[in-house]
Parts: sequence; structure tokens; C-alpha cells
Amino acid sequence: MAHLFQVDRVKLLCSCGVLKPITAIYLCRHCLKLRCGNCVSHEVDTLFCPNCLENLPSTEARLKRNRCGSCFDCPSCSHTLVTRATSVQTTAPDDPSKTSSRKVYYLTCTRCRWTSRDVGLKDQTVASGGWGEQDNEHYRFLQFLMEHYRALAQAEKLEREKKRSSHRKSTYLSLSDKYSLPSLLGRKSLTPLSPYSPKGDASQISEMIPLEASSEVEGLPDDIFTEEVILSSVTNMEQRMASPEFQPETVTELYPLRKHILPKRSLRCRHCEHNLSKPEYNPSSIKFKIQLGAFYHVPEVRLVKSIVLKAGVENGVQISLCNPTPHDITLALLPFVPEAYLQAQQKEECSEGGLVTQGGLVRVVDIPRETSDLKLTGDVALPQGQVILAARDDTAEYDDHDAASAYKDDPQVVAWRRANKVGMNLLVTPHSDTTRVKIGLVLRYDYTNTVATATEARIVTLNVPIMIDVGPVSE
Amino acid sequence: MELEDSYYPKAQYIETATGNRVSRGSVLCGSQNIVLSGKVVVLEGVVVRGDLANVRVGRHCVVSSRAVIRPPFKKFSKGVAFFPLHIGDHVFIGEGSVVNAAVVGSYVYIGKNCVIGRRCILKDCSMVADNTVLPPETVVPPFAVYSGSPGTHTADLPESTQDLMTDYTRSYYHHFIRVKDMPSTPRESATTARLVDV
Repeated sequence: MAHLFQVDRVKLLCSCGVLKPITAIYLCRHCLKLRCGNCVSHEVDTLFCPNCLENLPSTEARLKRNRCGSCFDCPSCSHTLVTRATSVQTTAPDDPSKTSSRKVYYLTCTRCRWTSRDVGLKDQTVASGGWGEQDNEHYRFLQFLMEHYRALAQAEKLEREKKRSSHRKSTYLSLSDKYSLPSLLGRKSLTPLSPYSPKGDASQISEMIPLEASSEVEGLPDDIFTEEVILSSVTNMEQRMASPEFQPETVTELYPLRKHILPKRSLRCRHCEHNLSKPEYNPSSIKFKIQLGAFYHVPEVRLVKSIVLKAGVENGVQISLCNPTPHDITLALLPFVPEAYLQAQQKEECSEGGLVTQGGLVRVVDIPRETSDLKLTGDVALPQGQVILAARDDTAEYDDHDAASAYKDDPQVVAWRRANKVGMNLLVTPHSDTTRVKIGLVLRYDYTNTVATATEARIVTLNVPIMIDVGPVSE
Repeated sequence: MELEDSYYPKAQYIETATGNRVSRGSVLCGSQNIVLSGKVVVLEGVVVRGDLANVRVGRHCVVSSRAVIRPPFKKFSKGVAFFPLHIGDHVFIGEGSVVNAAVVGSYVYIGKNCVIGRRCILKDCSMVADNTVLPPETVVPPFAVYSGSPGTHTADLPESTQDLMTDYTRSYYHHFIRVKDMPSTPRESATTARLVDV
């Protein structure tokens, strides 16, 4: 949500070396490091349909190929279809003179006006769930192939296990020989537990007949050069690719598509395997069981006014610092040296590198390193000393008394103070050869760790490198 | 970036006991059917069609200039029926947008020049980007950004959307400051008008 408060003007440097706005950064309370979407593992928590907002268990979702059972997309424009009801007159079979009206349902698109009647689908007598699957002519063949490969995988696995056990588990073999237990039988009883177990007969492996390549291809139909092409009756690329297993060529072959389901994700730190974000189970809920976004744990820095800086002179820039935690925060601004920071990071990585979840629950995927441009295009004169940020208090809004008097602030540094916010003046000098000024600073603050199991000190000092896009420079 | 102060002349706005600030230049049809729950800002040129059905707007909402809030209708075999329109708390509706939704949840951001079709459902913490057209009966799930024409799911919102929207609508209200007479900035209003026309 970069548009609100222009969040992306101020970016935090994640521990993986990428600059991200505060809304995209997390603070792991156990490692006490910043993490971002690139350096955490994403897990699918629950699956739900974005239209009916109903939960789907993961097994059912796999069975339905990650599509909703009751919602459909328009095959023509991919908007969601709605069910329309009409009544039709039917004559009773025994007495033709009697007519009764019956409710029938069909699907229609509210955007492009496509209806299920356009392609000759029969109206349904029930409001939902009556629409069947489209039969694929290759279904049996594909099923057969799946079976075959499943059997093949099973056979290979057995062989591998046999090889391994032959030179390792010699004691077991001798034991089973002793009790005249055929080891093969013992294994066979285990096979149904394996996901690769064949549903049919294992002898299918040999039955496979390889397909034969033919040099002759069926020719084009005769009327292809004589018949006039009516473009409105031919499907476009999006419509074809929306159902890859059928790829309809004419609009009369379009068939309602089941709606894709969406995941609810939880995020997990790759280093300590603690959750950083875990949404509630209910698809329409916006609450979180675990929410360790930097937005809730790191003081937020914002520019107060957008200004155009003058080249070569010191410009006054005001920033605001906001405390999102229910504890007072003491903070100081320190200069940011990108080179020194990167070196320290590399050193740390070397010492930490071997430790990264070896044999842990989480599979670590090697992602090519991404780095951000840390070039500073302006010098900043930071205020000396420390500032105390008042704790966040939701009732402060209704409080009239002035909080500023409680703190002895240097008026040179602190421009204003309002509840849990402080305005601060900085002096920025743009570099000579730049059109847009980016400054860097390190936010050093005392973070009150509320983890129940924290054995170390509850209050820890964190350093958060921040880069601020101050604005354009005029001559 | 903090929000900048914007000023409104006392004479042109009505401030109610619950803190609603409603421009005298807005059109509220059937005002007995319109409930503004408090601290709602309704700018000039807004049309709220309370004469069609009930309209309820939650706390701390912002309805920008020239937006139209209009309860949705449904055609039945015996004529047309209008449904009440509920808007949650901390909702921002951009300039020139037309909202025909059945339900707009809380913490929803609707951009400029959007058309929200009949009986759409915008769940909590969702967003409709600028210049989006949502066809009728679209459901926007939580933390989704819909954009384009027709609106499609193009991005996701951060987990902190709820607090961002709360902060945004709150500070919009606090930075909307009453003055006796408008400081002479006709230039500014001209630029916003041009933006909407595009």
C-alpha cells in the first residue's frame, strides 16, 4: 500500500540486503533481525475461494485441482459467473392440457453477457452444484500413464531400499531369515502406506506400449480456404489458455471454468523457524494470530512535507518518528555508512552460513541474492543525543492535556511532539551531481522484547538502517 | 509522508455533534435514510442517494469530492428492488468514484474514478486501485488489490493494512482544519478538478 503516506519514500534495509518499505518488513523477535518477503519461508495456511470465501481442506483442494466446487469463471471474459433463475412452462406427461411452471437455473456473466445457454448447456434444476465436469477424451490415457509411472516409481523405490538395506541392515535380514519370514512379504505389507503405491496391478509396468511416431499428419480440412472466417466465432488466446486441457477453438466450445482458489499464507523465519505472520483460519477474517510486522515493532519514520531541495546548500527537512509499541522508546539517529554495513553483513553471514536450518523442518531454497542500490546522494547532519518516544496510547486521542511539557526536549532538535509522535529537524546537503536526494541513517532504539521465553534482557538495543528519498533537487 | 493540512471554510460545511463534516455543496437525497456514524468527511459535489434505500456509513470515513454513493438494485420478475448499502469504518472513497456496492467492509480504499458495479462485495482490508471498473456482483476478498477494467486481482496488501487505513483516515480528519475564511488558494482547487476530468 505504497500510496498511503507514500510509504515507499522511506525504506528499511532488511538483514538480507534489500531495501523495502516498512509495511513489507518483519522483525523476528527471536533473532532480533529484520526480515522481508524474500528471506522468509512462505507457507500455505488455508485455501479458500475468493468468491464464496469458503475454506477448502488441502486434500479436497488437490482433488479438485485447486478450483472451487461451486463458483465459476466466465470462459469468455474470466469474470465470475452468477446463477440466474427463470421459470419454464412444462406439460405434465400424463395430461398434456395441464401445464406447471418449474424453476430452472443457468449461469450468466454480468460483464460480457455470456450465458451457459449460449453453448447449449442444459439448465439446471438445482441452484448450485449441478454443473458437471467436461469430459476429456485423453482422460483414460492420462490416467493410465499416471498409474504406470506410479508403479515405476514404486519399483524403483523398492530397488533402492533393497540396495541400501543389503549392506546396512544385515542384522534384520538374518533375523527375518531366522524366522523364515520372506523379506519381500514384509515389505509388501508396508507398501499401501507409501504415496507411490500403485492402485492397480504392479504388472502394468510391462504392459506399456510406446506410442509410435508417424510422419504423416492429418491434412487441413477442405473448407479452410473457402470458408469465410468469422472472427467473433473464434476464441482468442486468453480464452483458449484459460482451459489448457481443452483449448477451445470456437466460442461454441466454451465451457464454464471453475474458479481458482487462493491461499492464506503464513510466514516463517528461516533461521529460527518461528512464525512471523500467521493469519486466522477464517477466510474473511483480517485478524492475525501472530503479527510481527516491522510496522508494529520498529519506530516509523515519515517525511513531514514534500520539498524541493536547493543544490549545494543545507536544507531543513522535517521527519516524524512514531512509536507503535506500548512501551517508551529511547532512540538516537546515527550516520549510515553503506560500505561498513555491507562488510559487517558479509562477516556475519560467514559465521552464520553453516547454521541455516540444516536438516530442519523447512526446506531452504537457494534464491539468487538480490541487493539494493545503497548509494547515498546527500549528506545529512543528524541531531546529537537521544529522544524519548512516548508509548502508543489509544486513548491519547481523547486526551486534551499537552504531553510535550513532560519531556525536556531540545527545541533545536525536536520540532513538535504529539502523543506517540515526534517531529525532528534534519539538515540535508545534496551532492553536486544528483537530481534526487537519498539520505541514509541508522535508527538506534531500545526495543522491549515481550517474548515470554526470552532469557536475555527484555530490553535490547537494535540498529535499523533506513534510507529516505527526500525529494528532487532544483538548481 | 505525513498528510498535509487542508482547510475548509466554516460557512461551507456542517459539523454535526458526532463530528461529521458535510459540505453544503454535497447532495444528500433522502437524508432521513442516511446514517453517518461520526467523524465522517463528505466533501463537496458528493451525491448520496438515500432516497433509494438506506445508506449507512461507518466512523472515520472519507468521501472525496464528486463521489456518488448509490444503493444497488436487483431486477425481479415483478419490478426492481433497491438494497441498503453499508459502508464500514475507516473507508476512503476517492474522487469521482461511483459506488453501487452491496457491502463495503472496513479499512477499504477505493481510488479515484472507479466504478463499483451493482451488488459488489468489498471485504475488509481490500483495495480498488484508481480508474478501476468492477463488473456487477464482484467479490473482492480481504487483502486483495483489484485494478483494471474489468477489475482483476493484481496485487496483495500488506498485513498492516488495518492500521495503515485507520491512521490514514484519522489523520485525514485531523488535517482537515476549519478556518473562518478560505485562504486564497483557488489554484489548488483548479488542479484537483482537472485530475478528476481526466
